Formats: sequence, C-alpha cells, structure tokens
Amino acid sequence: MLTSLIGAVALSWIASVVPEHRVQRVILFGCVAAVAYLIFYTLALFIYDKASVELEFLKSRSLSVVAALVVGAAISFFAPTKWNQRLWGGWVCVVPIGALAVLAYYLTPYFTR
Amino acid sequence: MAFWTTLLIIHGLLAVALLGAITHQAVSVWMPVRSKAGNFVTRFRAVPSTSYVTAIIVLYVVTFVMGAWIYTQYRFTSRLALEQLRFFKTVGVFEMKEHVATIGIILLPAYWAFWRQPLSEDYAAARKNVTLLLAIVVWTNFLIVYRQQCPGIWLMMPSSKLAVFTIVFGVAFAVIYVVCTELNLPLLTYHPVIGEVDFLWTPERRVRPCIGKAGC
Repeated sequence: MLTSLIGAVALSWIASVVPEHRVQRVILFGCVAAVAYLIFYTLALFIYDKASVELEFLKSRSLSVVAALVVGAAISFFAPTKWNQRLWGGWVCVVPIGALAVLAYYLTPYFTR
Repeated sequence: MAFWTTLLIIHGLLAVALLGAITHQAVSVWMPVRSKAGNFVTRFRAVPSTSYVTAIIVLYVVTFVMGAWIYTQYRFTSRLALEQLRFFKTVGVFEMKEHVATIGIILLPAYWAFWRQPLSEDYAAARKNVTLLLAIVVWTNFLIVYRQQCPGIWLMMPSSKLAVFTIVFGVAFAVIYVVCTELNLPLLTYHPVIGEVDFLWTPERRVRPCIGKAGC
C-alpha cells in the first residue's frame, strides 16, 4: 500500500501540472488498452483452443499486447474532442472497480481448491 | 489478548457509525426529498448530505488504520489457524475485504474534492457515483465481516487542479496497488518472529543478524 501511495502521489502531482486534456487522453488510452488486451487475449486463446491446426503464435501475449496498444492509441486519438476537454470524474469509480475485479480474479484459488 | 479484543470492538463500533453515516448520505444524494419530511423513510432521506463528509472521511480513515493494525496480528495468528484448518474460502473472503477497504480509502481524496464547498456542477454525477461506490465498499466490508462472524454545464472551478490530482490519485493508486500486490512489491517487510522491519522486500528472517563476535 505504501509503495502504491508513493507512486500515486507522484503520478497525481505530474498530472496536476500537465494540461487536463492530456491526462484525460492518457487515462482513456490506458483503460481502452487494458480492456482491449483482455478481449484480444481471450479471443486468441479461444481460437487456439478451437482451431483444428496448431496456431502456436496465438499463445504469445505480445501479439495481444501490440493489438491492444494500437486499439487504445487509435480510440484515444480519434475520440471526439468533447470527450477529451475535461478529465472525467467517473474514472475514479471505473478504474478501482476494474482493479477490484482483477484482485478478485487473483483470489479465485482460495475458492476453487 | 484483551488489547486486541478491545481494539477489535472499537474497530467494529466505528465501522457501524461509518455505515450509518455513509448510508444516510448515499440515500439523501440518490433519493433526495423534494417535499417536507413526513414518515421515517422520508426523514431518513431528508438529511443534509454535505454535513456528513468530514465525519465519513475521519471515520473511514480511523476505522481503516485500526483494521490495518489488527490485520498485523491476524496475519500470523488467526490466518495460520484458518489455513491449517483448510478454511480457504474464509481466508479468501477476508483478503478480498482487505482489498475492498484499500480501494475505498483511495476514493477518499476524490470524494473529499467532489464534496468541497461550493459544490461544483461539473462533478455532480461523479460526486453521486463516488458516494454510492463508497457506500457499497463499506456495506461489502460490513457484510463480509458479519458473515464470518453533469450534463453540459462547464463552470469554471477554483479547485480544478485539486480535482485532477484526486481523480488521478484514485486511478493511479488502484492500478499500482494491483501491480504491487500481485508482484509482491512492499515498501517495508515486517518480520514478526524477531519484531524487525526491513526496507523494501526481504526474505523471511527468524534470527537477528550477527553484530560483532558477541552477537553470534
């Protein structure tokens, strides 16, 4: 927690000195990329599982990471200007909920053994 | 043992006070009363929501700090017993509760900024959502423990930088917290057997390091 506290304070300080629309764009990029990675990697593993031939490259995470970064960059770049004018207050709800989902996922072994 | 029990009881009492305050505020924000207060439910909804902010923040922080303090004892006493008895679900739910509480505390700066006077129309929706999320966090933690046992208005705001800082703080903390938790990156490592604290992550230690010949 203390490590996160230091990191968060440093990032928040940087965010408060750079223009607001850039902060909004960076957070939008991060969130879209994270969701896109989840979708792409799940999809890649699903196709790998169902395919009748061995598609070894689909198991690599790097492919999904690159695709997610491209999608994140594209959406945050082409997003309507209105979206990026001000920092959206809803991030403070959306991201912690996402973080809780990830933490819950990592705790599943406690419930499955 | 009496000390920890007393601490636990105070922690529980503070949590109940917090639960009442946040529920009052969330209900009054999401279901405000337009007409004059009548029956019990209407009066429950009619409270002035802004007057709860400081109390909620103080109660949350104090309850959290007490919980974290109790956790240090739980971590190497009760939890070991629970694991030996293979109560993994109980351990898992308790760990989840700790994460939920941490996510709750990182919402507090944004919660405070959104509720600062004069209330900004820019963050009216965010204010409602953060209050609701905080209420859900507090209720979730309470139930886990119990079970074990703005549209279109762009006003100039004097506190815009502060709002940016608190929003980014909430976002960054959540992300870094997940990374640090999963990669095990603590700032301090506590060794309960020898009662020492090390900086950053260090392997488990059960004996003090030798200092000179006499120490070995």
